[in-house]
Amino acid sequence: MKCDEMQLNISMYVDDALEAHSQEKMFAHLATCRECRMFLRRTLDLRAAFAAFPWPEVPLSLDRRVMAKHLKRGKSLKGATEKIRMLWSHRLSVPLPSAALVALALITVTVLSISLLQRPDVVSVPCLPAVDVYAGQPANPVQGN
Amino acid sequence: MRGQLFSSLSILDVDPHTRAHSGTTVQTTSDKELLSLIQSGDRGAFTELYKRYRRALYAFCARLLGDTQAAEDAVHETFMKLSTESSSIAQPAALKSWLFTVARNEALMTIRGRRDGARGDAESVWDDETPQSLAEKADVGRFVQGALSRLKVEYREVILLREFEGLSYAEIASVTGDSASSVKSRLFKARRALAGKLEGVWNEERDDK
Repeated sequence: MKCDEMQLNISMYVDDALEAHSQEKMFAHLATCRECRMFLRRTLDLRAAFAAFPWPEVPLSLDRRVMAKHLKRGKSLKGATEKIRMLWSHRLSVPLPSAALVALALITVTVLSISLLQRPDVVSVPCLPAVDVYAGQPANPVQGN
Repeated sequence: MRGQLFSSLSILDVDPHTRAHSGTTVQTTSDKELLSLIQSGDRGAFTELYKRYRRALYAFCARLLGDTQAAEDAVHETFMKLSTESSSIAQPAALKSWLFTVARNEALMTIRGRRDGARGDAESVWDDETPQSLAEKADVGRFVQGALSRLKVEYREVILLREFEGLSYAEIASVTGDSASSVKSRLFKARRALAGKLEGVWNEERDDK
């Protein structure tokens, strides 16, 4: 049981994941346990064997498949962008001088409207005679009657 | 500007992985930056990311599956998912884990398809169905390779991600969807099983010397 726990610690130690105080316990145990020393040695042997493994060559067919699909997708996205651009240039766009003229006309109309609305002689509000709220009679009855 | 730079890359360029661990490669642009460029439609960034991880992912899948064609399919599907689902990646900084997670899931689907639901002894770390036989392996390296290929997939994958990719326990847990303590335990069991299986071979080798 103790060796099981120690070997778990050894496995963590080779992964550089064992805390310092646990390392001390592990080394103390290793000094007295041949089985655990052997486990540490085999774990390191395994690591060395893995490091010597040849890396499989990536097949060209994978490169071709991935890049072909990606380029195709890129082209379809590019095609969509191109369609939007064409729609703008053929249907929605207007020549720059025309757009400027329309904008100028809109500004002129807006300014004129505002200035006309502010002139008192153009828009007059009829004045009602003042009424005496107590007598229901005009506040200044016509003199001389 | 960067888009133009990446667009000039060719898939026939020299592989950037010059050492065994993919993490040791000098990377001028981070995965996060590349992912951001991919999301903005930069095809060159996709190519760069493909070059960065193709070798590690292919080796992982080939060793997990013991079948180069199936490994090719798994890596292909992984990059197709990157191409179509890049905007849904929750943690751009953990792109490496995301790629290995997708590749692992693709590989596991292949393995499940092969087995068609058959289950072995749950307590054993060894797989009854082997990509490769241990029988007539002469040298230690090939013997280790054979023993690795006979491990059950849940043990084999943690060894591959730790020993070949240098992923931390937390990163492996993120890829496999387990807890870090479960990863730690499986690594230990896999190592002990391999060490025990290979004891005779190592002893023979030592006696020969």
